[in-house]
Amino acid sequence: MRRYGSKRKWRPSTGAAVVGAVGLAASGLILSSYGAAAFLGGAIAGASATVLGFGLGRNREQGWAARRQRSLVDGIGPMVMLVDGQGRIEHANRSADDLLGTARKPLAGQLLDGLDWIDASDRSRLSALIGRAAMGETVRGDASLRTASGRRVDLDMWMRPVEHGERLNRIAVSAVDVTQRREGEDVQIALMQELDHRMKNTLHMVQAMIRRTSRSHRDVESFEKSLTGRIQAFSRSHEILARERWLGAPLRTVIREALSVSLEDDTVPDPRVDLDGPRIRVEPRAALTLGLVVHELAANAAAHGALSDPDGRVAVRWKVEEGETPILAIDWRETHDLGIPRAAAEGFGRHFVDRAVRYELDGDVEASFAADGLECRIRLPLQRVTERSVHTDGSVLGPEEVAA
Amino acid sequence: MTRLPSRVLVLEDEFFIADEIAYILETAGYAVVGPVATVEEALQAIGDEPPEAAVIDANLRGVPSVPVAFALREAGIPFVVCSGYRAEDLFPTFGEVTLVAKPVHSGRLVTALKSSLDAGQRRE
Repeated sequence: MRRYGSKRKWRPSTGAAVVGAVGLAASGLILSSYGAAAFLGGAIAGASATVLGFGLGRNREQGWAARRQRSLVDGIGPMVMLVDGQGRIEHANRSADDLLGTARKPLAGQLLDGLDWIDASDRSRLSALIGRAAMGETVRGDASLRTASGRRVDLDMWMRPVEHGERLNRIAVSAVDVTQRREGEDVQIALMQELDHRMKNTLHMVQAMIRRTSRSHRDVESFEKSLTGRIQAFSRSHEILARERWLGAPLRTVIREALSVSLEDDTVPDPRVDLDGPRIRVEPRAALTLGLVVHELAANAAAHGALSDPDGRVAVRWKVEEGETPILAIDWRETHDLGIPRAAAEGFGRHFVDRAVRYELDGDVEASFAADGLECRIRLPLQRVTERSVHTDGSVLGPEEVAA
Repeated sequence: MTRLPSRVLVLEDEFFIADEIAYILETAGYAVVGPVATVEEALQAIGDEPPEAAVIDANLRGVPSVPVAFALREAGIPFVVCSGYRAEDLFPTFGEVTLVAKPVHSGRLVTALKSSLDAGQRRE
């Protein structure tokens, strides 16, 4: 490709210096915007022209103006470079040197499309852009370049031919580092997809709850009560996990919140409820399942057991049983004076507790009816409920909240 | 001539949802194998006594179920994928799959399963 101007000497003109100064003033105001890049081309051209002019030493004022402009150009956040028609860098501001150069070798004097650390494919793309700008075209585009440190940066780059007249002399190159913005956009897209997926999964969960609950209730009133209880318990576990940024949840909080759904005034501490156990954090999926399991037990207790008796008691105790496979043992013990209610032994609630613990947590459930109330022992492999699952799907958020 | 109901393996890690899918299939006259919650259990079920079809979830606690999809294809067993994800995001290396979006519409699931089974029989 033919390029102009490398042999022709640049002649500074006061016109260019004025354009540069105006450009600088404007760009100082709106540095952070993309629009600033348009001014910067003019600014660097003017400033460099004046710097060269200073070398000729016309007068002191011109020297001051040159230094002031040089300081301003160096102070600009985006990269600014002046290159000749062959792509050789004549001047680079500090941002350009910091981003694309090395401490040992300043950019000035090197070919922009010949920098050692830039990948070959990026080099040819840069050469093409320089070629177009050398033909008098103002080009703007995204460029992804490798820096001297090996990091890849995304640039929003402008190349603008400067100097009026019959032939072009220089190209003002300016660029804003948009790497973080681009990465932010990628994260946002991934988050949107994840949100969409979770939304569908939650809706499916609710749909499944409705269908399942409808099969174990004959009248609308009890169906409604049972269904809203389950949705409440599920959403409370969600809330705890959201507070904990989906990294896990304190077991005590999960139990307390799930239990409180079935209490008339919706609060624990309740004098009838006693929770006791060591501080254990459970992983998100286990928290969701345990929330539902505890809710089923509590709902059952509120309908037929200890929580239907003003003098009843529910004690929930948990502990870790060390051994080859450490076990998290959760004991649910009800005491009341109601006798053994037959209804408590049946229905979906018990069935659910049993199946859910086995199916989702690899645990087992033992339920028995003592003379004074239900006793339910849940035993879970500790590792299964505390460890986060392996992250294999490449989603942005943790894996355990990825379901289905 | 009466036929025994087709045996359909269900792979789904969430109990409520597994239960629902099993219910839909049973109501439609299929015999459900499982449901199972992990890739290992699914592979074992396929190895023990191959089902005639399968309904599989695509992502089991962050673990893709794609090995099960490959095993099913290997064994010539038609299957339907249930997922909230898009199929191309899930099994990028697998090729085309029949996807039923979550939340699952029971009619759509049954239709998709039936066409998979019919297509499988035509190939035989």
